Amino acid sequence: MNIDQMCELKFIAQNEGVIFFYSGYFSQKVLLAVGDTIKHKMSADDVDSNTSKKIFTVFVEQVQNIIRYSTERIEENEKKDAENELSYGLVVVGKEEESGRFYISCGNMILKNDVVRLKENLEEIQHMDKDGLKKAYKEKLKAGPDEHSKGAGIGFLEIARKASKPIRFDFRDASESNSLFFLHAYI
Amino acid sequence: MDTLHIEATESTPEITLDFDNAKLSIKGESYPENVTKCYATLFDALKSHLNSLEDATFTATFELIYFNSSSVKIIMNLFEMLEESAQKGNNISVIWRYHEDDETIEEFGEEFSEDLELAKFSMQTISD
Repeated sequence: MNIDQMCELKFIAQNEGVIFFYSGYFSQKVLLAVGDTIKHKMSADDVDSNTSKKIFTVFVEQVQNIIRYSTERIEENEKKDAENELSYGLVVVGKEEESGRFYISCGNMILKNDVVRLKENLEEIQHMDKDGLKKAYKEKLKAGPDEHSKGAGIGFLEIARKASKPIRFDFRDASESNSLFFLHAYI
Repeated sequence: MDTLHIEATESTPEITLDFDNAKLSIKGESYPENVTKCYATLFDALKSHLNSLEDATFTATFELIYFNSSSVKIIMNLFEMLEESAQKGNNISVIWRYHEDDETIEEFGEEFSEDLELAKFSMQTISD
């Protein structure tokens, strides 16, 4: 990296109203520290407490998705203790200047083989209205997580429920076997 | 029986299961990476305690500020256990406490309460 590249990063961040940008390995400890920083920044800026909580909620769901599902990962011990997992991902928290809306974007590598399943799942969520999301949330909670899930299986629904607009997502091939998964939510 | 007390951490709530006074309290934030591990002790203790109750009174108070989607499942399971105990004839109360301005936690309380029939549910607001 040289100063030109650093300037470019800074310029992009400035243009996109970035409050926070992280690209690197996540762990539960990083989540706690960054989450705490975001809470303090929101409170210092007098952001409405309900908006601030929604931002925090979406941030936690996105980062825990990275920790659980990113294919770029280092498992520190054989017990696969979740506390010590390091998973690579990108998270951006920002505020659009024009609309004044907060957003949270994230990216992480997934297996190409999982793209279709994830796309179908997210497209379904994208087209649900408020009541539809609530209903799907309850049904999924009752039914229990599917075989691919390491949590309650309602993380995307939780994000969509906290978002003020339908969630956006995309995939881009990154290697023979991996794709970059991108998810964006407006609060 | 000695009270089960689990101190809060940055991402887990304070849990107090007071057998003598028939009270459970869960207070704080909940977003650990491994929720199952975090709540295992409480689940085991609460399950056997509720199973031992007959015509008894028991109150569970939830005062949560934030919880992640994995913890939602845990709370739902706790509500199920409490409702089951009420169905067996025990007098079960569930109190959902939230800050008066907190729409998120208020909404969660309303949604969770839809699953309770015989357990008595009430919402309490906390002001600054």
